[in-house]
Amino acid sequence: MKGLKKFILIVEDDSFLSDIYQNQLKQEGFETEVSTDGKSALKVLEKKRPNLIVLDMIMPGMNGFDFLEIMRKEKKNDDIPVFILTNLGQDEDKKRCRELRECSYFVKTEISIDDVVRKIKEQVS
Amino acid sequence: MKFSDLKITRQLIVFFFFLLTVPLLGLSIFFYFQTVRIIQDTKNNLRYVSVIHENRLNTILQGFNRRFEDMRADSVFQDIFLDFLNVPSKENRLKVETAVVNRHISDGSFPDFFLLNQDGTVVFSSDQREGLGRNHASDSFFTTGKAARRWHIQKYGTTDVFAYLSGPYIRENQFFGVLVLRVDFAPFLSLHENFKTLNKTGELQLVEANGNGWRLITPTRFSTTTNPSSLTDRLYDQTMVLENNFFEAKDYRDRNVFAILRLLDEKNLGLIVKIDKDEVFLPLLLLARSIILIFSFLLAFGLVLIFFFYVHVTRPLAQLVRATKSIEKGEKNYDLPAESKNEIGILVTAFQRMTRNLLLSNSHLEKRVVERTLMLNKRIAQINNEKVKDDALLSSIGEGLIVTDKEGVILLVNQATATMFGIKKEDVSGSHFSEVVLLKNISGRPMPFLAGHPVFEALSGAKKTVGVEFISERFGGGSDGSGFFPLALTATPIVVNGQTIGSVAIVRDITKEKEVDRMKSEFISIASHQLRGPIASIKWYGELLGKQKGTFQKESREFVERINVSTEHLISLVNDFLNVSRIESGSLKSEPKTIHPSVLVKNIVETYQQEIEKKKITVRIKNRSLFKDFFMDPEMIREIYANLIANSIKYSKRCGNISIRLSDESETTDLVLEIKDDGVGIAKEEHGRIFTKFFRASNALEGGYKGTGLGLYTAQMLATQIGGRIWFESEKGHGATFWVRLPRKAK
Repeated sequence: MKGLKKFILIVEDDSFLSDIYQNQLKQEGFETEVSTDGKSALKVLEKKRPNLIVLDMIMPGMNGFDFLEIMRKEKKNDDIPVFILTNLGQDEDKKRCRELRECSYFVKTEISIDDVVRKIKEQVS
Repeated sequence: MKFSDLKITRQLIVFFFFLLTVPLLGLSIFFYFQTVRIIQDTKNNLRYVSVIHENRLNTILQGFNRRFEDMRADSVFQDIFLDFLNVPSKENRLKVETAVVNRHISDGSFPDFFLLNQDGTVVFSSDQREGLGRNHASDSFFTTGKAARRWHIQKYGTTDVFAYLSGPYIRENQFFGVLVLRVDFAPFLSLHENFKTLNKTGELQLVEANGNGWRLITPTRFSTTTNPSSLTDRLYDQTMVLENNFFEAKDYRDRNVFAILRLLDEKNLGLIVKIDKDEVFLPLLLLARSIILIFSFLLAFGLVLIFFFYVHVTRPLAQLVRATKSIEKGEKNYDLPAESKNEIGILVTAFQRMTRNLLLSNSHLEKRVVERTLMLNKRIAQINNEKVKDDALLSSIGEGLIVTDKEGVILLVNQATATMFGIKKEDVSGSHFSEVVLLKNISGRPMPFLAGHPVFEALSGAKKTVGVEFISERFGGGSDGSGFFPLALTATPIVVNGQTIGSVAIVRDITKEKEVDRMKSEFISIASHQLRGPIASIKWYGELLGKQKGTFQKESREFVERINVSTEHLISLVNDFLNVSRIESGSLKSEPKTIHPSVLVKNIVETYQQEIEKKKITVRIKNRSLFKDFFMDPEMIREIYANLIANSIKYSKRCGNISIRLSDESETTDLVLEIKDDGVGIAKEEHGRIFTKFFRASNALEGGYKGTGLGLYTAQMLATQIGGRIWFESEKGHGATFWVRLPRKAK
């Protein structure tokens, strides 16, 4: 399946971080697109179905929780795996996300960027 | 009314008369039976005497009778007498005389006699005295021509008494004359003499039937010289009662007598034996007199004694009693018995002294009462003054003040307390502390009034508790509507002479402080979250930088390395901040699972393996826990244990030793983790602050050990939240030992 690159949607308002995701994932041969909030991410979803979504929680505009909720309502988006990479480390937050299926939850500072990329690769392939 | 209630004098009188009455009653009975006995004895004696004399008299009378009958039955003499009656010649008269003398008076002792013809005319008499005639014979001789022999007594002068025996002559049923024999009665006249020796008033008397009664025919013992006819003719009074011949009557002397009457063989004659009642009863009378005399004397003596007793004992006593009553009523004037040297006198003297002393001490007392009252009034005024001050002070204190007794019962609360708990000051005194202040610990668990409750601790341990935070219910709802508010409570025992007599609790509503705290925590939380973003950038770019090979000089590579280390430190700092703020805000929820503490400890130690190896530390883990299963939140336990284990590794010197031991005593007892190291230790003066937020020991700072000062704080917060406890022993430079005691089941 060369030619058809895997598409990763990155929802992250911090451009430093979205740059890092993009750089690293592109190096690994993924096609990426960055949305800075939930609303624009939903717009991307209307056009294109990603193989995986990297999602931040705290964002201006529509935050990650709301985005997940709306997204999961659409049948076609039901099975898209979501990697939540957030600053929120509390159990309640993790639990809340788990209810919204197909989610992996990571606290940004607790994981290295290499591990993020590796886990995404594992998930997508 | 009881005898003992009577006044003493009356008691004595009653007692005395009782003492007299009993013997008197006895004596009366004695006298009664004695009288009966004497009468009976008298009867017997009289009868005895009368029988003897009756026989004697009968014998005498029969002697005379025989002579009379001899003469009357002499037929030769009858013929001579008839011849003389037919021819009363001198010659025939001489024949009669001769015949009588020859045939009957030959011995010369024959009494005088005379003969009557059938008309009653004396035709012949042996004595020529005047007065002899028909009156000496019975009339019936002449009217019927026949009759039995008859005795007739005739008295003459003062002493002469004659008895005439008369009887008719009858031949061939033809009455033709009467023979009369005159007997000298002298032998009978001394009858009473026979009785003389026996007694003083006893008499023996002959009596002759006289109509309905009896007349005396013998002289009496007491009047031999007086005319017997005037005496002896006296009848015994008509009321005399015959009972077996025995009777009681008045005699000629008008004396009461006991007497017996016996009829002689000649039925118109009787014998009376009598004795004066006075004589019979004399001994008894004398006895009675002496007894009466004795009793009178006793009575008089007793009365005198009672009177004496009254004068000398009862009257003074009664006076004393009156005096006592007067004093009791508060009267000043009262009489006292005269002074004397006997017991009463001593009593009176003592009484006077006592009364004097009483009055004296009364006046003293009154004086002192006045003095004391003044003093007290002054003191009360002082106290009131102080109380006003105290009240003002208490009510002006912003913090709540609750004073309890040693059982925890509220004695006093100030206005601030009342406002704080939504109660009325007056309502709560007397209630128990735990009823008014519904205390919960910060995790919201109710605190029973047992060990752990600050007031209980203060009362039982006499220790002061310092500003521990609690939550309490506010009656009528709190400001937030939930009814609960946070408060800080300091309980201090009130110790007097080493005895805890109560406690003073100072309570402060720390809602505002908590709010500030919460805002602070929230701020830290948000700040930390916000920090994580850029930190993650730094971390990841650092990582990428570190991976680029050959691009940097060796020195630059080291700089990148240091940036990465600092970033990790920054991350852990932020994590700690977040942890603390989460625990403090209470948002950390426990999710118990079955865990195995020994496995957990091993896992934790493994995560620090790199550092352990670097410092060449020896870690020994011993599991002395008897029971493996614990139902706890694993994350919380991990956090607690990891903090302590990380600390001991961090503060261990190179080649140090750490020993970790898990132990418990039974299925129900708590699990204790002991972590002992030989590291830098904690200075004594810093022991009190070791669990406070951001505190770092001076030697830790000096040694350049990195840390946030939040580890122990977090561990203790968590342990407390699940009902456990952390404590330690340490000395600076000699390592430290920490213990964590956790319940087997999360509360």
